[in-house]
Amino acid sequence: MLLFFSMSGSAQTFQLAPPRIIASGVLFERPFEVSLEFDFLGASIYYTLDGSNPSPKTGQLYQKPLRLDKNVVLKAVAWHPDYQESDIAEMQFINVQRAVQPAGITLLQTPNPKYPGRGPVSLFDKRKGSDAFADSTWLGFSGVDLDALVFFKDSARVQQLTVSTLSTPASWIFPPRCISVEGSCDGVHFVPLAQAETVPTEQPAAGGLFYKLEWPAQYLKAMRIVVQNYGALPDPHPGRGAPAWLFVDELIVQ
Amino acid sequence: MARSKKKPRMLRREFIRTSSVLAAGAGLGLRGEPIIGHGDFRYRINLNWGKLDPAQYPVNDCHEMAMDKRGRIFLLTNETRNNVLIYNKDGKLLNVWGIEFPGAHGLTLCDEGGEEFLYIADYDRHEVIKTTLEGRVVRVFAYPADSGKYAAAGEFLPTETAVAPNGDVYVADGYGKDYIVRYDAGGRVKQLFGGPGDGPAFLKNAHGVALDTRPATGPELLVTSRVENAVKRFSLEGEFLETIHLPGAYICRPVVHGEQLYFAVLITRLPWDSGSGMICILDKNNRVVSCPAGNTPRYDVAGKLEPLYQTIKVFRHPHDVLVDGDQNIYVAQWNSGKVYPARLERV
Repeated sequence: MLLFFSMSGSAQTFQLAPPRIIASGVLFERPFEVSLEFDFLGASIYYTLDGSNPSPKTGQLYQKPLRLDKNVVLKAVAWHPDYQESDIAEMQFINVQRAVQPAGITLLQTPNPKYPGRGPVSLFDKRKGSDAFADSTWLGFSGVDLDALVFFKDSARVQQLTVSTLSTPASWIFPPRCISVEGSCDGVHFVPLAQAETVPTEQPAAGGLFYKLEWPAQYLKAMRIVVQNYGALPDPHPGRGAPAWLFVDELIVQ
Repeated sequence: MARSKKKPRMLRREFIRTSSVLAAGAGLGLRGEPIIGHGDFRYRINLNWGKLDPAQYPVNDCHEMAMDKRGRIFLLTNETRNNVLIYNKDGKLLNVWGIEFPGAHGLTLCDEGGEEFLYIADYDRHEVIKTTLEGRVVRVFAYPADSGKYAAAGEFLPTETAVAPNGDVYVADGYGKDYIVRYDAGGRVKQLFGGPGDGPAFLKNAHGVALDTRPATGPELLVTSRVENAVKRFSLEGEFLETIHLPGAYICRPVVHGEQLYFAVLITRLPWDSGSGMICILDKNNRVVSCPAGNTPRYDVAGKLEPLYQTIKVFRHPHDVLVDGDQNIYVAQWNSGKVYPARLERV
C-alpha cells in the first residue's frame, strides 16, 4: 500500500500525511466550528460530511472553517499533484444537546484501578476522551464488560444510545464485541430494547469509535447497558490469549 | 567545528533561494525530487544510504547512532546477531560486533583524553555498559540500588547516557522510573534527579539526556520528557532550569551539533505506532527553525509554538538522528519494518 523506499527518490513515491482536524471537542450542544489544516505548499484539502470517502472529484475543497450543527462524520484528505494522496482523516461529531443525565449510575463490573476515570459519572459528563487513554475521561476494563445500571430521576423519554469507545490494538485496547440495552419502567423489571453485534475483526484499526443503538421512543425509569469486552486477544496479536482492554468514555442517552 | 565545503554550499543555497520553490516545507529540487525542511535547513532524501542485505546483517529497531573522530558511523540495534554496525560515510559497512545486548537502546560516544568509548544503555540488561570502539567492556553502570528508589534491577530501564566534562555519567531511566542517575566516572552513584511526578522538574518518559555545550554560561544538560512533548534544561547539578515545549512532537533524545539542537520525532499523534514521525531542528536559542517532513514551525504573537505535525510520510518512526560535518542528517528508525538508516543531505 504505502511505499517508504524510493529507487529514484522521486516525489511520486511519497505519500502525504492526513490533514489535521481541529475542533474543541466531538460532543457538542450548540453549532460550532471545525477547521482543517495541512501546511504543505501546493496541497489542497478535500472533505465530505456525508460519510463518503473524499477525493478531488467527490469531495468539497476546503477553504474556510466549517460550521456544523448536527451529527456528522467529517472525512478529509490532503492532495497534491506530485505526491500520493493521504489516508483519510476522520472525526465524528455528535450533538448531545438532548442527552439525558441520569440521577444514578452503578457499574456492576469495576473498571481497572489504573483507569477509573472520574468514576461512573465520567460516562455522562459530555467530555470526550482523547487518544491519550490514561487521561481521566476514560474508564478502562481489563477482560471484563462495562455493565451499567442507569437510573433517571423522573421517567425520561429516550430512543437511542451512543457508546463512545476507543480502539488502540497496539496497547491491547480492542473494540467491544456486542452492545445490549435493556429498559425498565419501574426500576425492577427490565426488557431488552436493542442489541448490536459489532463484528470486530482480528486486526481492528486504531481510533475512537462510536456505536449507536436505537429503539422505539418510550419513557424509562432505568436502563441496563452492557458493552461486552472483546475477550481474549486474537491470534496475530503479540498478546494473544491475554484479556483485552475495553475503554469507554461516554454513554449518550437521547 | 570547521566546515570544509563552505563556499560551494553557499552558492547552491543562494540558487535555490531565488527559485520559486520555497516557503512551506517541501519543494521539488532540480531533478524533480522532494526537498524537505524549512529556512536554512533543507534536505534531499536518500532512503537507501544504509541499506544492507538482511540475510547477512539484519537489524531490528535501529535505535541510535554515533560518529567517531575518524568519521565512522556506529549504529546500535536490538538485533543480537549484530548489535553494532559500523559504516563509513558512504553507507558502506566496515565491521559489526555485539551479540550480548538484547535491549540495546542508547548509544553515546565520548572522547576521554584522546581515547574514544561507547556507552550502551540496555533496558533488558538494566545497566549501561561502557566499551571501547571494538566492543571490549571497560565498565558497567548498574542500577542505583542504594538510592531507595528502586526495589530491584528490573525496575531500571535505562535508555540514554550523557558524559560531563568532569567525567560524571548521567543515565536516563526513560522506560523505568524517569530518574536521571548521576554517577562519577568510576560508577559510584552521586545523585538522582527528575523522576516521576507532575510539575516542571519531573519527567514523563525521560527518553534521552545529552550534554549541551552551547550556552555561554557553561555546559548544561538537556533531558527529554517525551510524553510531555518537551525537552528540559537542567544544570549539571541536577537543578531544573527551563522547559522547552514542542507541542505535538514526541521527541527522542536531544542531539546537539554546532549551534543547533536536533531531534528525531517518533510520532506527532498517538497511538505510538501511528507512523507519523518527522525531524525537528532548533537554533541556538532553542527555537524551532525547521521540521523536515513536517509543517512550518510557527510561533504566535505570545511566543508560543503552534502544534507540530507530520506532512509527508518520508519516515514512520525516527528514533535518533546523527549530524555529520557537512550537516547531513542520518536517521535511524524504530518499529518501521526493520529499515536501515537513511540520510537527509543538506542542500
